[in-house]
Amino acid sequence: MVNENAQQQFKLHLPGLLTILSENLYTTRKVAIRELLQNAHDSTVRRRVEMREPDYTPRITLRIDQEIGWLTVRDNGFGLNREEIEEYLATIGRSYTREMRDDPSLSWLEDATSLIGQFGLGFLSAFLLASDVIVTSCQMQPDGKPGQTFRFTCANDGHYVVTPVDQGEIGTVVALKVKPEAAYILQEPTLVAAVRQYADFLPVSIFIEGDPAPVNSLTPPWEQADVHSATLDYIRREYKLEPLFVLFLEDANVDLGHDQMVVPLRGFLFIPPSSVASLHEYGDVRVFVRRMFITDRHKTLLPPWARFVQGVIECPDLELTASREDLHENDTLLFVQQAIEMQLLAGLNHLAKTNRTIWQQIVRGHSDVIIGWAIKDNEFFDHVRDIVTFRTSRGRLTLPEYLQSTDKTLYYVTRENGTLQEEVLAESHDIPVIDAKWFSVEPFLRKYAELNHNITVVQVDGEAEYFMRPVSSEPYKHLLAYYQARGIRVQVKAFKPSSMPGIMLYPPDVEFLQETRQALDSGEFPDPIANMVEGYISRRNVSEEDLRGTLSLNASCPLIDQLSEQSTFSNSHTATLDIVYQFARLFAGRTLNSADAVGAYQEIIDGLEALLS
Amino acid sequence: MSVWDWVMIQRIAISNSGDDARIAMDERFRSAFKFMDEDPDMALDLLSQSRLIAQELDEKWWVQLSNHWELQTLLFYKRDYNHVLEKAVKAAVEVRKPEYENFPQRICLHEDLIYSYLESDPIGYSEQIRSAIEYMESQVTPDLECRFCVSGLKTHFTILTGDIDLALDLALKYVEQSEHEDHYLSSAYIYLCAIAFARQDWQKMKDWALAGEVVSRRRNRENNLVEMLTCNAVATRCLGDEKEALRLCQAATQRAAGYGARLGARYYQMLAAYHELGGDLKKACQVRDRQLHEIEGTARHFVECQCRLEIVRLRKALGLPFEDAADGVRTAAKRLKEPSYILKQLESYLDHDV
Repeated sequence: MVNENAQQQFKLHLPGLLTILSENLYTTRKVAIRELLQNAHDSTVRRRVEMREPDYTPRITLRIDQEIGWLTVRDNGFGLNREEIEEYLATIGRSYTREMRDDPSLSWLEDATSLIGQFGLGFLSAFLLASDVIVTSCQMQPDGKPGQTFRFTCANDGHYVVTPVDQGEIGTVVALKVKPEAAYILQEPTLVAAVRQYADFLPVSIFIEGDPAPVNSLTPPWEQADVHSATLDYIRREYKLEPLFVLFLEDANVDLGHDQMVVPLRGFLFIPPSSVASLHEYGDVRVFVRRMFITDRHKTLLPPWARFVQGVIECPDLELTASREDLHENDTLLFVQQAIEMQLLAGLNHLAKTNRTIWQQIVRGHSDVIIGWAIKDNEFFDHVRDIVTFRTSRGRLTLPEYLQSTDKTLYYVTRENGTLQEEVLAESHDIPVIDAKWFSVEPFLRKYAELNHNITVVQVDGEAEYFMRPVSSEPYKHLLAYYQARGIRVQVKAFKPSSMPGIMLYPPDVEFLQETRQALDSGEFPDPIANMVEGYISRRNVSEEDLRGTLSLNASCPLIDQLSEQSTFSNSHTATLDIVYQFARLFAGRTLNSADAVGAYQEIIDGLEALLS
Repeated sequence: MSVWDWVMIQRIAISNSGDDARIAMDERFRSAFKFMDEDPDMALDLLSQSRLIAQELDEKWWVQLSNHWELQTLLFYKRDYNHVLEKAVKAAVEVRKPEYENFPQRICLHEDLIYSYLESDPIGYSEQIRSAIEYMESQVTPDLECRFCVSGLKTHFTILTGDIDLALDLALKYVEQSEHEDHYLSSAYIYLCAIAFARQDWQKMKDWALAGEVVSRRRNRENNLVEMLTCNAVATRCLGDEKEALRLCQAATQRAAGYGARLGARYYQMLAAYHELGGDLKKACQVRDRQLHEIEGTARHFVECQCRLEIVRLRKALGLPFEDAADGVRTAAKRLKEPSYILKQLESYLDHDV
């Protein structure tokens, strides 16, 4: 009889679980190379610390047998005995290296921290690449001689066989029968790239059989004698760029409030020559844990404002997810973030004070990104406010440089199209205009003005009249009457440059208003939505006439002055007036569809023909 | 296909493409949601970045997707309506084009347009809003998540226009409809609480506030949770448990203090009611003053009028000068299409004991 209250144990469907762990845990098949190399590395560490052989040189060798589709990883480490094969290799979730690292009684604790294994899952990743795996291992005995060799054979179905075999060399050989879909790993360049990606800094030489030189560089740049040169070489090789600045990281004391803790940290941060906000930002680091590559372009370790920074870090305290392709977002990660932010801020502060030239190059190269973050971070804003550069109608300028020519006013445009005429008007008053189309520029300018009370901010687009001076219309009444008779709304003002006879002025958003009116007129909205759209448009109080724009004749222009002297107009006069109007429409470039543009050109041609005849 | 199905399909394609610009576009969009409750300005920044990248890439549907969420952030998190109507109309004008015919968020953009009227002047535009909701209903198919939004919109509108019996019927149907959709269920309980408050059915109000609290916690809807706790405090006080009511009120105000976005009008309405029901009109008035301070400059005209009306009523009841406050109501009402609804209430407060 079944006891309904009895405690039951979950059942495992081993083949299903194996499939998940071996095939779905990782994002790429190549990660199997990392896991196999890490196991081999840990075995050599064990031999080094347990046997203390003075002449021992750890070594890992990879061999490709392309014609039969096998890949072999051989190490000359400590090897496994039968019991260890059963306990660790064939037991999922049990990790020999983690148990060693976590055992405080171990006499070689210091060395154990360099062991990499953690979850006891890594061996399963072999099945990402292989349909069958054969492990042959011979453990070193206390007297230094080889013990019995065992062969462990398994497929990805949850079954394995361990058998004693003829005597082999001390160490372990893992042979993989590579699946057809993973055959690319049997291409030597692919295999070498994977080794370099994952194990470049492992302190054991990794060879491709037949090649006398190791594939990996063994020592990270921050452990080389000439750290500076090695780091620059690394950045040039790996990132293909010349950094503006490099900051070397070191162990850092992090304040916990009640206590302090030391975060072990190595590596470097660097600033590339330039970035483009949203499209080509950085703010990421390459992460190594115990010299094994974990992830590229990790985004959360750097502070959010540091989108112009990249780096490479090594921190043994960071905890990894089971796939070991990412970091756990826990307290340790927060401490490491703090340690990095502290050092980055201190480094940038120091740089800003001691090397103005480089600091300015950084701010110029990354101005979009820096402007975006400065509006959110007051301290950062203070650091960059006077050295960040803006695109202006006179090239890139800092705000202090810009303000030298505008008498304490910041003039800017925000519209995507059709601001050229405002820029021309501003320039003719000797005023450069700041391009504030990028969303963060306007708030930056306003914040700057808020903190400098004597500075004002003026938006120029849609405000062309700001640059115009009123004049009496009386001397121009015939000109005005001519245009009015053609149904053209017209006014006369004085403005610079005097070579410009007239410009067109439109209400803000004229293109949108025009499109909406047309859509409403042609019934393109369902009635209930049309009512709401109409409600908004009527609130804007813009007439059809407004939408066609207002021609603003320039009283400062000699041509207009000359035309105004006529009380009646000859054909050549009317041709000239028509050309003035059509040029103004084309120069404004707004609300014209292709038919309008063709019509405008036609009228100009007609006018020119009339003048020639 | 629902909009989130479409987003997921896009996301997989973007991830497979390895295209940096599109990955950045999606990353900004995705990150924005983390900030809506704690820092709506940051959420708006991220959404506008996503939209700008989408514009550069000519990803028109994505531009409108970001637009919709910018509008939602302005409407329900930042609660700043200064540019909401303009933005909603521009989006509606854009999505009328044939290339958006199958865009699943097209209806949501119509919803944003309706909300932009509903939240700023529901009485003045009641006919336009009513017919637009009916149109939305006719467009929603069972596979679209918009069916929940339409129910919520209709219930909210019916409460605002004062048909409480119909609102109750709609809110109960909304609860039934969103039984397995906590995001919407949480809002449905908010409406039920508002209806129970209007009917002074304190036991129902408490039951619905408790149910809503559970759902809001489960779904991490912090703004709704604060409102539920405040509603529960009001109901509990009316049911006579002062100690528990105080605990609930403190829990609500503490959470409100830590909330980074702006809370809705209902929070202030309930908090002021809590104090008034306890006889502390001075505190009720302080709550309304605080609300007014938060509303000013946000173009929430109808809410501002209601808040100013309450200040007049409370000041009069406290024996404080109220003429300036009454002028404030008159000035604010001028921004409404149909100010008489507010002005009549003002006159009744001024003419009678309150």
